[in-house]
Amino acid sequence: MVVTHERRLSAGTRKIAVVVMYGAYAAAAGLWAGAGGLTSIPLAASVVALFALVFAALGILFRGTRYWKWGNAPDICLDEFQIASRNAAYKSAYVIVSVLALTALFAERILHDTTAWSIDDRARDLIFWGWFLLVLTLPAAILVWTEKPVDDDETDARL
Amino acid sequence: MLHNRIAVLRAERGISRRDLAEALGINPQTVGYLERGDYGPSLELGLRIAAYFEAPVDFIFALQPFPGLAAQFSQKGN
Repeated sequence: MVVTHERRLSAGTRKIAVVVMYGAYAAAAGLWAGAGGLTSIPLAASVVALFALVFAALGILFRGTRYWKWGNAPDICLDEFQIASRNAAYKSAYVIVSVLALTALFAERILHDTTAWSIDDRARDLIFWGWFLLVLTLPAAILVWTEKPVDDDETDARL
Repeated sequence: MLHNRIAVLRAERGISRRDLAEALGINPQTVGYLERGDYGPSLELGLRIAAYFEAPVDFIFALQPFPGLAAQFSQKGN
């Protein structure tokens, strides 16, 4: 069976959802870690709202479209174009994750050696869960981002 | 870039992208990518497309753009 990628969301909406998903997580993590914890009710409410945005965007992208399935389905469920696109997305995701991981490791090492700064447990947890989100969703998010719009199936089906 | 006549052949036969996709076992949007030239099919898929349209592969696919209808008519006129 071939996985169909329904286009219930426009390309612009899908890209906004990707930006919101990663941006809201980064903002929530920055607020939480920057303030040294959830020290006030408005701050806690902001962080909770941002995490809710992350899950909402994730839900919109991967329940409202078939990109999650496309990005993770076995070959037998995809046609050759989908397999090629998925493989290209995984290649890009590998490069992005590798560059981010190496940059973070070097930055942490340099900061630690030059300023004696070290990452605290809260920041480590936030980075871990951010990494978890990124690694699990990036190939499908790249598919969301890079898929070129095609005319609606039936509008020009009988020219 | 690989040029093709899939859209013309499909329109000539009055079949939808979905019908063609089902016959070929691919996604309807993949047909769109093929028609637009955004994706070059494998040899296997190219042969399946040729078999479906009962036309030679080199009638459907070419490395050079196909001449337009007007150009073909003017060539015939000359």
